Amino acid sequence: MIFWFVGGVLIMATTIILLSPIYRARATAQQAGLAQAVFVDQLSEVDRDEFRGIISGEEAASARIEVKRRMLNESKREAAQRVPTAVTGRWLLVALAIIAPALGLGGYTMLGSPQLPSIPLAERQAERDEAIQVANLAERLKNQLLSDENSPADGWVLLGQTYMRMSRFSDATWAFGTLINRGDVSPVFYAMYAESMIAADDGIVTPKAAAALDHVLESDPLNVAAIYYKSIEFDQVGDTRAAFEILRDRIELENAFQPWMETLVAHANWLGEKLGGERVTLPAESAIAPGPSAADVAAAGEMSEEDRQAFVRSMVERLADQLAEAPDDLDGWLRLARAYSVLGEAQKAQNAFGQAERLSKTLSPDDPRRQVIEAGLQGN
Amino acid sequence: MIPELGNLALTLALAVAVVQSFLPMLGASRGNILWMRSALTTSSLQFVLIALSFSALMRSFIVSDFSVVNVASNSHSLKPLLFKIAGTWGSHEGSLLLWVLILAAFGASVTWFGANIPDTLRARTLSVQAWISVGFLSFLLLTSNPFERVFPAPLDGNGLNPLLQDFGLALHPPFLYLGYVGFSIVYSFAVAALIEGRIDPAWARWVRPWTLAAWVCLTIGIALGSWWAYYELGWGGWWFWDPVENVSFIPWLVGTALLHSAIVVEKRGAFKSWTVLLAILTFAMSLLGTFIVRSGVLTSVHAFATDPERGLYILALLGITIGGSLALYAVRAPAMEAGGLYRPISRESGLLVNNLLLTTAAATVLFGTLYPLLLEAVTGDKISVGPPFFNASFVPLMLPLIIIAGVGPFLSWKRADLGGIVDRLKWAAGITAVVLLITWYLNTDGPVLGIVSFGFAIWLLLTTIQEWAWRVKLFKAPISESMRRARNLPRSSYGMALAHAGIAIAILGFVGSTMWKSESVTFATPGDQVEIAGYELTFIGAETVLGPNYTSRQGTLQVTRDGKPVTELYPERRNYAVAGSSTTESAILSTIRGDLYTSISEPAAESAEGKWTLRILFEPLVGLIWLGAFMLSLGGILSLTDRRLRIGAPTRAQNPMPQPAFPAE
Repeated sequence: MIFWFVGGVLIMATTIILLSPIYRARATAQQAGLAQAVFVDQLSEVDRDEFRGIISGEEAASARIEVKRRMLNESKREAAQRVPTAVTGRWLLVALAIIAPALGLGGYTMLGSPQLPSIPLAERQAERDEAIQVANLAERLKNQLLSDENSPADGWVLLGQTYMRMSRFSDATWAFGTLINRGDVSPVFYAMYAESMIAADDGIVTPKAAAALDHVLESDPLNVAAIYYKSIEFDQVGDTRAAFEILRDRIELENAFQPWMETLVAHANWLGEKLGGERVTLPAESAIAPGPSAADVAAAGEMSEEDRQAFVRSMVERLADQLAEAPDDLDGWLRLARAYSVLGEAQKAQNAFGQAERLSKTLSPDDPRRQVIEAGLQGN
Repeated sequence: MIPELGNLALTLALAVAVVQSFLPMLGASRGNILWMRSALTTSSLQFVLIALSFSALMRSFIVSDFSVVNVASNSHSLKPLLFKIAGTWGSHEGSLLLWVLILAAFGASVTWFGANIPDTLRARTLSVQAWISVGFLSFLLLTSNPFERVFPAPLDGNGLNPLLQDFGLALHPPFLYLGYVGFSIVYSFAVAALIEGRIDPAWARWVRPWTLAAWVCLTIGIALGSWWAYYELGWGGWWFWDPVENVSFIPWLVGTALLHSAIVVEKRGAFKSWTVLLAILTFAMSLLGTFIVRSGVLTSVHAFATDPERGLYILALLGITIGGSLALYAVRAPAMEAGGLYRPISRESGLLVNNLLLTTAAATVLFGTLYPLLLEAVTGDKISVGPPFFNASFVPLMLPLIIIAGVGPFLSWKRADLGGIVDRLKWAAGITAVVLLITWYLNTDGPVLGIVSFGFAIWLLLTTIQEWAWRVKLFKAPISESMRRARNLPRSSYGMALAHAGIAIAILGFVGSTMWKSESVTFATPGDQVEIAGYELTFIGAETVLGPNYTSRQGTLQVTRDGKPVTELYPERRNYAVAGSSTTESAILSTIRGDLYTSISEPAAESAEGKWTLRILFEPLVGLIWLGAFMLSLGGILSLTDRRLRIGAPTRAQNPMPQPAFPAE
């Protein structure tokens, strides 16, 4: 809101300033006399130089003649020139003073994200503390796992996933790699291993990651994550067709909607675009789409920034639509409220918490959700 | 909110620039005073909006707002404040924003300081300036928006290239850009003049101060860059003929030619067409520099943007700007009125030869820079054109220039008496010859070009001093008369003398530090001693020192001369953990005789534990390079403060017989 207020002032100011020449313009064109003024200056300069002894009297005389000749030419030229006298054409200035700010605003709405606040680091102490805490916990977990010869596989998976969330991809690769070297070769872990390697290499599927993907597909040919990254690998080596087909074939194997489909379909259609407009459609049952699953969000991590923004937004909108039709879903409202607070839309988050509070009346008094709602309504 | 306001201000600036790009131009051709005057408002407004946008970005850097992608990828919370601020222009996006800010500032200053320019010329100039603005603002917004956001925001940034985290380099881009972009206004004036079809006297009067201002900034920018390379890269070199250095040097060379030819337009009304062409070429070379650095067609220390889409956009902009203006020049220039006449031996001729040599030199550097790129594009072969090419081609072109620069100031306008000048300069020539012989005697096996350059630099220095002495009639008139004359000499004369002497002194530095350099690279353990150029250096040891966002291994070197202690030097090797890279901080003992330059690196191999690589150089006279550059800039500034309007005073022909005279163009 404040942004649109300040932005509005900026736009208004632009309009007013663009209009200002109308009030200030006087019809006196400054055409004439300026060139002559330059020559007059030059003449007095010659006088001064002569007085200072920089040029001789003879040189000065010759210079004066030259300047005067130029003055004569200039006055002939000026006499022949038409000098505007009237102030006309106000209409064009008014039109442009309206159109230009509108264009600027239009450009901004295409490029900007008005709802995003600025987030100076100093205001993020809580987040930093949390990050430090997570880092400490991860460190402890790591030491614990390293000191225990029979450390549980779950622990290593947790450590790897924590590192992934902290964007410490190489460390995640190390954690998953350690697990795999021990011989716990569930294809799911291999897929995580491959994913961490790809993330560590800025999204490039290296031969080592590709080998891990192949290994997953050998034992679990339907593994969605592996197929998704395999498609990315195909696209990166220039085989867009294979990249598209591997996704299409996998999606067509399913009869009903699956949470991971949205991402795969979006990516397949993006590839299809490059191939000249081929498309993949979701199975018909997709009408009852659930909210974003963890897998979706994980996949979203691989998208470009705009894609991800659009993706998150579409997920949230879908959830909001769904709740508008079936408003008695308490957990749904809580999910929506959380999503809005993450997106920085405090007002909408409040509304969602309000809806949740309405439904929470029937809950038992010690239900933890009551506290969440209460805290949410108070704006924490 | 702040970054979003910055983004909004930028899109508004683009819209305003669009209005400015056609309305004043239309007004000038239709004789509509209101439309012409609108340029005054739009140019100021455009500047204010871009300044607002730039401050928004700078604020985001200062408070470490990592929700701005540009901040997240180029800053870090642990960075010292100064480098957070410098980070604003440390990235591709930020530096382009600085570029358009300076562009708008030059446009606005035509409005603010240009009350004495005729309306039509000013309106057209500002419109042309706005064309450039539109091109670069749209480039910025469409391909490199500095206000792109990321959500959720990362908790910390990716840091700035630590090599760039340096005071000299923090200031290098702003000055370089002030120079590059400063030439835009001269370009706009030139294109406006071509559209108008005549060179207005006001144009002639304006082109020089603008050129001078841009040229001073470019000189400072290049000098800072070279100084940075000298003490930061750890090799003791100050110029590598690297393409990125070359593309800043080419506009400097053409700009220097423009500077000199503008004098002739101003004083004698000649060289108009030639000056217009140089104005176009200078800015064209600046744009080319921007293209080469920004498009990532080369990969070197400086080229940090690598994205073909961006490259193509700038290439298209470059094509339109240069191609369009040159086409306009081809059509309109022949119709330009010719100026004053002059004889083959005259100051005009001297300046013409100077211009030709400078542009040829610029073309040589351009060829050496682009040839490897073109070859790679056509055949795929990667070659590098290095110092041998430039030394063999560029230096010989500069030598006659140095001779003429010495003689030129003695020549009078229109026609000069060469015999008298030769007679006057016989002492300077004699001393130069003696210095040449001594240099040759000391360096019988030295490179011929080096020895000759050294002698010619002495020539330029002597003649420059003599010119001043001649002007003030030193020892020819009573001392009080000389004092009066010295006070009365216009500042531009002092500016010229200072700049020419600066060139001479810088050349002494170039030659001295190349020809008489001594170098020693050792794998040292504490206690080892190295002798170089009369100094004894003892390696005491190395210890780890903590910096704000790096750890450093600092070596201690005790310097003695003839057994007497001189100083201690502390070269460092800094390791930036966040960026995962290291920088060299050399330690330098500067004396009048030259620089004792030391740098240190990690133990060469694990087997060589405890052994440090020490690079120790003695570079005679190297300090003169920056002293010369300083004098050049100061000379430019001095000339700039001399706001007098000069007119060359031609001497009347001694011989009443009509002589064939050369037309000006």
